[in-house]
Amino acid sequence: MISCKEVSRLVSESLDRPLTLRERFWLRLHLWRCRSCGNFAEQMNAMRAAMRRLARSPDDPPERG
Amino acid sequence: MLEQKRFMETLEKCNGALPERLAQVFTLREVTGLTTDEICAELGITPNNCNVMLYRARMGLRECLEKNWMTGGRPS
Repeated sequence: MISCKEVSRLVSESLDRPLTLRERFWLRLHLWRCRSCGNFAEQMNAMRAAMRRLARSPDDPPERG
Repeated sequence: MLEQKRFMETLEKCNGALPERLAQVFTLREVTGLTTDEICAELGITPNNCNVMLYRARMGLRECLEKNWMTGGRPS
């Protein structure tokens, strides 16, 4: 098993580069068993989505339909 | 909706509170949408260095958000 610290690093890198098969395997195995790292991964994804939203419209209202 | 707006404001503030170099790399990646390769070329840093900086930026942002939004931000 890899450590939570290592997992946090891999989660971050997964947003920037494709992980190797081996990395994905260990990451998934860990996330399957570790709730707090699962939360961390969700937070990282949410942060990315939020930054995208910031990038699109700093202050504008959401686009009209 | 209001909650989301406040979250976005906090996120922006937290990004601004990061060490300048980290904020720069993070913004190039997440706002400008450059790849790490492009960031490396732009700033003359190694991919490994770039990954480490992005990691630190994300950890710093998360900590800042936790402090300023997830706990302090809730109406009591």
